[in-house]
Amino acid sequence: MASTASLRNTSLGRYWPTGSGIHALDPRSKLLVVLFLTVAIVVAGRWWLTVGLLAALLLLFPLSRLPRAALSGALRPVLPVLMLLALFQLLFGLEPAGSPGAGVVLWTAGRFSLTLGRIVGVLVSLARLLSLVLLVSLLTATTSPSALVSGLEMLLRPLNHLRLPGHELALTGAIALRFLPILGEELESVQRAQLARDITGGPESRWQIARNARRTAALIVPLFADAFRRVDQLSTAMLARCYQGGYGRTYYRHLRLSAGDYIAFGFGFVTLIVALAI
Amino acid sequence: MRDPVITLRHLAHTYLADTPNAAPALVDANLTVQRGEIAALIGPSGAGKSTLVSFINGLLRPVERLRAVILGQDTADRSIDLSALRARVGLAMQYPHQQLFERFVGDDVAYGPRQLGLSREELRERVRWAMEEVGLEFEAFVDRQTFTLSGGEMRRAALAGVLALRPEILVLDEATAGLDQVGRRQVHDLVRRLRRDQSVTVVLVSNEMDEVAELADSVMVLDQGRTVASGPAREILTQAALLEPRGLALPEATEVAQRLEARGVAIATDLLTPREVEEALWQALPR
Amino acid sequence: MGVCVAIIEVRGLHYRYGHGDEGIDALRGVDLTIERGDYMAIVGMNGSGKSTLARCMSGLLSPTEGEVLVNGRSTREHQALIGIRASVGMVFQNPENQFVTSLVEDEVAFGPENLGIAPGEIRARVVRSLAQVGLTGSEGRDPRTLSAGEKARLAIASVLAMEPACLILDEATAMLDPASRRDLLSLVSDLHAEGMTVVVVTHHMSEVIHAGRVVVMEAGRLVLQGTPAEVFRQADGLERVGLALPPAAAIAHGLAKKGVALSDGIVTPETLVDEVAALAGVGR
Repeated sequence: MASTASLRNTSLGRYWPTGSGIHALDPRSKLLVVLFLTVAIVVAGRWWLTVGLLAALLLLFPLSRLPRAALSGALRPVLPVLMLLALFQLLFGLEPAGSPGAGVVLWTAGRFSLTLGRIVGVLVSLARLLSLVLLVSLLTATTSPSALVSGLEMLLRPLNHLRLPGHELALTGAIALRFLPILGEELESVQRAQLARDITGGPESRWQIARNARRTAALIVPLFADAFRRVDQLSTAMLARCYQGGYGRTYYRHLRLSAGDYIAFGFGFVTLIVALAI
Repeated sequence: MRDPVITLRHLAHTYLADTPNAAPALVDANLTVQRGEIAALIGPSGAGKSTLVSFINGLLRPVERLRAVILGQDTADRSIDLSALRARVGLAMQYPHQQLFERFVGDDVAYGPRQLGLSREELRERVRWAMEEVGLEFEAFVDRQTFTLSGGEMRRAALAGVLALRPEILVLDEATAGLDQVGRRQVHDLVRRLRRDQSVTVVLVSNEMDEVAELADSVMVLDQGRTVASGPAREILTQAALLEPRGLALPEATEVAQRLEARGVAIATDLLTPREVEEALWQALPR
Repeated sequence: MGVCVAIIEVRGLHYRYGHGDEGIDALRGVDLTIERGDYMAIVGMNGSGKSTLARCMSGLLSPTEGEVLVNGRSTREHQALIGIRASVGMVFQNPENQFVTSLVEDEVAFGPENLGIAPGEIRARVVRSLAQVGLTGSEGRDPRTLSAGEKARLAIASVLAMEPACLILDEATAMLDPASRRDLLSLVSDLHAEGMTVVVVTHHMSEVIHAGRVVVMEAGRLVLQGTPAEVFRQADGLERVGLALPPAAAIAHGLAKKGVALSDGIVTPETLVDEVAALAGVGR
């Protein structure tokens, strides 16, 4: 029972409403800036650009008044993986040309030689990956899920005129978000029902693999059946309210861009150009 | 002879205690049910009825002793394995689709008794009996797939799965919600039959006052986690002042009797069912 | 006055789910007319076909045989379907599975948005619909935080925003406790008084007493029709199709059978109390 409670209260990708300036930015500009910066991070050739971006992102956490838990919550799950990747690259990776310390050998063991350049390369790669993680965490920490979906939906609106499924995509995202907690509750109820008819004695043990596997498998059937039933009802209700996809739809909600949005947009755009040019 | 099978005394429970999201579900709940009794639990939504029910079948354990004693077992005693208790207390929940796990009806009804170590023949007989009790014809339904069942059939299958364990206590947690009148009447007949033939004790959680009036021997009113009243059905279900502020209502037959009494007709005010009122009026009216 | 306008006309309607031997005939020849301003209740056991009939009437299902005309347009006409669905609004049983957005006002706006209504007009409709159901002030709330009764009212508001001529409620009270059920039915009566044509589909006989006309279904056919009083009078016919009279009507019927001089077809507790008091010769 505790495991599903944590499913609902997870801090991965969690939204922290602190009311900072970053929070107040239009989700559309945030999404576009994230897009630009992602490309910039990936293509940045110079190490100082990569490190600079990482530093800027780290700085944005306190600037958005986010608590320390937001930063640690973003890093903790990925750090083990990143360390593993770094080790891999250290042992088997290539040395980026033109990096400081290229060719300066520090240590040799048989055919393996550790150069300063390689260490720098690994650090730069780490910085790159960390930047990507922090960028996405910043986005989810400063933008509520529904705002994200609205922003995405508005950005995809031009697709509607071309009779492409822009609104449908965004709506799918919104509905999925909305039903996650509902399905979570459903899961809890199903677990209760199953436990009520589980009468084989013996102490609870994490290691009773067969039994726990059987229990989990038993949950899948009712959960899927429930999800399909809800989908059926929801689609009927949407048809009843004349949903026909995005073409010809008007919009009730209007987000307005502010000066801050243009500034952020400009910053992202410039960074992208710089990263591409150098 | 008093034979209490459920004794809940000053029961309290807080969900997610010690976290910022702590929510008290029960504050001071009290319930005593004798063997063979049909006890009803009523109260506004959010009163904590489902939480209370979880203490009856051992899904939740109290921290202190003597708060919840079910079939002679103190559920706070950590040395007692409650899974054996769960075989003796059957719980039918509000949404039947949450209670069907197996692909085929027969398998699902057998889910519980399969764990009892019965022979294949005994198991088959048990499943057949449970299905017939709820009105699902064995041959027709045993190989049906559970997700092809209609809502009413699903509810019966779920109930059969609970009955198949032959529980001594049967808890119906809003288990007739959404059933049409025929289905409801069948469940009522089943409840009475179980009580008569096997001394099964029934705890009925329901907000259908007419249904409670038909079935219950005793009633407990739960509001915001507290027991605010309990006693014989005739005593509790006839007090408008107790029920109406909580969003509950008098059974319709009781309402008719009380209004007539207020107008001066010579009729008792503690009648519960249409039959009783009809009989009383037949006596009271000039022929 | 003049001719009553039939909003919905059902002629020889058959509906079959599935194909061939495994198909289920949910409707076997139904003829029905719903006129502007009607308040109709369709009752029947689960499986009697009442929900299928409701869906055919609102253009969600296309007839297997026969015809459904809404404002003169057939539901078989593909082009007419959007107009029909906007004109006959449907509210379903579980509000949670009808909501698409996470804000009350966005939810109400969803219907008009789909119809391509101008944003300014959408705003006006949102305000109006929320006022009609008594949810003014809840615009910024997440629908998940509403009580069961409020959710049901939100579902109605989001349909009202399309300004339908007729509102069909398909067992919309099934998930509600008795107090919320009473409130919802009261809201429906108010909407009807304001001019809305209403169809309530239910298996609770007690919800039928406010309707102007009642139609009883069994196994895909209409078996009884009339005013509530007329239908209640036929208690044995109701028993046969698995429906029971609500308590007050049952008491009246039982007494009448024994020879007590009560009027035919008493429907509400109030009427029963009045008549019995009169018979007992007591004051008001």
